[in-house]
Parts: sequence; C-alpha cells; structure tokens
Amino acid sequence: METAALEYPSTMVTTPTGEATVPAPLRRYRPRLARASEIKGLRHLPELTVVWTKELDALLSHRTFLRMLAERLTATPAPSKIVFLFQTKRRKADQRETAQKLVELFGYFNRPFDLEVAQGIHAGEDAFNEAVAKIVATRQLSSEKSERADHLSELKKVIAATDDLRAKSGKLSADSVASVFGLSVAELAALVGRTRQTASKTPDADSLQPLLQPFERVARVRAVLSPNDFRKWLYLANDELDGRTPLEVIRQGKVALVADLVEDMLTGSPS
Amino acid sequence: MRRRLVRCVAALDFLEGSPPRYLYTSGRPGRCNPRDVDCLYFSETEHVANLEYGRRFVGLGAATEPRVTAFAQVDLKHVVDLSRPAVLKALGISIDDMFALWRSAPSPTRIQRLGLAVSGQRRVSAIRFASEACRRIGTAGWNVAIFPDAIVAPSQVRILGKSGATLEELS
Repeated sequence: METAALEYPSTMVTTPTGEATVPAPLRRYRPRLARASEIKGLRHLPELTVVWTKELDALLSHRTFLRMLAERLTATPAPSKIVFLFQTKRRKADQRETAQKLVELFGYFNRPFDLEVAQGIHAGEDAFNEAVAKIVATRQLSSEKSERADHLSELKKVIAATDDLRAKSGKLSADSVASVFGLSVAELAALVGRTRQTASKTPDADSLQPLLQPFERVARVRAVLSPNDFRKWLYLANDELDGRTPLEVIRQGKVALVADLVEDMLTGSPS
Repeated sequence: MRRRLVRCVAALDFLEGSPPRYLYTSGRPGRCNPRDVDCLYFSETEHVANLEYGRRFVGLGAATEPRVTAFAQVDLKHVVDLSRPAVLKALGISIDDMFALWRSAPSPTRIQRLGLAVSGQRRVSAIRFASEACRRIGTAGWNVAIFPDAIVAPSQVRILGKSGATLEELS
C-alpha cells in the first residue's frame, strides 16, 4: 500500500486553446503538456488528465475538443481520471446555471464517475489529491481482483514459463515483456498508454504492473509451447480472433482478449 | 441430463493446489456466458474434448504434447438443448447464432444472453450446444455449459477421480 501510494500517477495537462501551463499544485506529478490537437493522436489517456482552462462556458464552446477527450477516455483502461480545473470561480448566484452546464459537460462522457471539477487553484489541489487517491485505490482493487480470480498464476509450470518476464525485483519488466513479444519498448509503452521514457526509466514500476499483467497472461501459453512455437503462434492467423493473428490483436490494444484465449487454451474450455 | 462429461486440459500441475480446485470458474467470457457470469464447460465425449483442446494447437508442437482428461458425472434436471430444432425455434436462435464469433463481439451474442438468463434462475442449469471444433472438420459433437449459480439439489455435478470417487461436488 505504501509503495503504491508513493508512486504518482502518469499525468497530462491540456487546454482546449493555445499552450498549456502547469498549475503549481500539479508540478510534483511532473505532468506532460499536450496541445488540444495532440489528444486525438493518443491511444490512451494517462491515469490523470487535467484540463486547465479559464471557465466552464469557454470550455463548453470547444465541442470537438470535448468529443475527442471523451473518445480517448472511453478507450483508456481504468484507472484514468480527468480533472477540469477552472481558473475563475463562478459566483454563488450562478450555481443553478453551473449545475446545468456541468450536466452538459458530463454528457459528453460515458464514464462520468471518472470526472472531477474544481474551480480556482486551491480547490484544484484538493481535486488532484482526491483523484490521485482514487487512482491508487483502483490500482490496488484491480490487482486484488485479478489475484482472486487467477487460478493459473499458482501453477509451477506457468510461473516457470513467465519467469523471464520479470526483473530481479520479481515484478514484471517492460523491457523483458517487449523482448518476449518481439515489440520495441516504445511500442509496448504506447500500447499500455505510457511514454517510452516512462517505460524505460523504471521498466518494473508499480504503475506498470497492472498494464503488463495481460501480457504475462498471454505468455503463459509458453508452458506448453516452445519459444519458437510461441513466436510462430503470435504470427498465425487465428480463427477465434476473426482470422487475425494474436500479435495483430495485441497491436490493436486488445491484449486482454488474447489473454482470455490463452486461458481457454490451457484449460481446454470448449468453444 | 444424467451422464458423464469430459474435458481435456494442458498437462500442467493443476492437481498440486492446496486443495486443488476442479470446479473453478474465472468469470471470463465463453460461447455461452458473457463476462462475469460463472460457467463450467465440458464436452459430451472424449473425442469431442480432444478436438476442442487440439484445434487451438494445430500446426504447433503442443498438438502432440500430453494432456490431462478430466471427467464429471452430472445429473441436471433441466437443460436447454440447442440440438433440438423446436428449442431453437422457440428461442429464436439460428444455427448461425450458435456459431457466431463471440470473442471480439462488441456486445454479448444471443447465446451469451441466453446464458445470462439461465444463470439468473434456478430451474434450468445448463445449455447443450454444438461443438465448433467438430463443425470445422465436418462432424457433429456436443458440449455442455453448466451455470453453477443455477444448480440446486437434486441437480449436481461431481468431478470424478481415478477410482470413480468424487473429488469435488457442486449441488
């Protein structure tokens, strides 16, 4: 718990217009800055996205930006949260109107529980802390859930088959995972919604573990396949994947789908 | 349905758990269940179970590797039998629905939705459905999807050990 809580989420600051600047309370998270035009090209959003803009009305006028942001959030695995930070605090007399406009804003998104709103920089600090706490708690819950449901992870042959994916720390390493799958670290990082720098700097970071775990589940098939056969299998068209190869599906960001297939292979689940 | 069912699994150390869990379900989706609906899959014969296991390793060395065959004795009072045209007609399910691609389907297939409905009641406990592995080689064979949440006595599923003794039971 302590380690997870200390590890800051990957963070990005953006604004619908012009250059983004980093609000002071966010500096400790070392966020990356992204122009509005860059959002569309992102495969996933980071764990924490901060939209830093003057006020709510101005934001609502940028419909294309909001639609793109909503699409990217939909494509991003949890945990991922967006904090809308407004520089200007609205007057109390406007509260009813504000509530209506927030409904309009949230209406763009199909994950409204992953949105936070803060007006004024001081409120922003509280919102960041709350979002970070929720992200860390979600990471922990998802890791406990996968441990509960993961019977195969206890099998010696499966453990041996995936041992080379781990660093000396015992944690999954982005370097090793990339190598086993024949991907570059940059490509693997993009697939899990991280930058190459993040994945290279600490390849076995706690924050990468839930993202690398589906790759480990795929690599378990090496308990019954030789290294050569594993590579061959990755490149073989698979009728259960609509004729696509496992590697194609992984490159489309659907590694969990291939991981489920591997579990069915090992457990012989009829199709 | 009162009969012995079969499943082939990879020759891993499944039996070394403490205690081993034979009736383990992961909640991952299958042909008859959407995600998070628990379901146990078996084939009706060893031949079908072998085909189901082997089809995923065609062209790879593992196709000839040892595998473990597990047996279950089931007594299921009510089963939705998709081999019967009248049942298909009553449910509005076509043969194409039975073999529809489900892994990457954007929403649950008709058979998965049927499984969801079965898992939510206590009268019917399983679906008998056609084997895709058999269809691919031009033969007919059948599998059974059992929904643990829908099993109530006197229906039961028993995993059989070497001597025919019960290793684990669901009822």
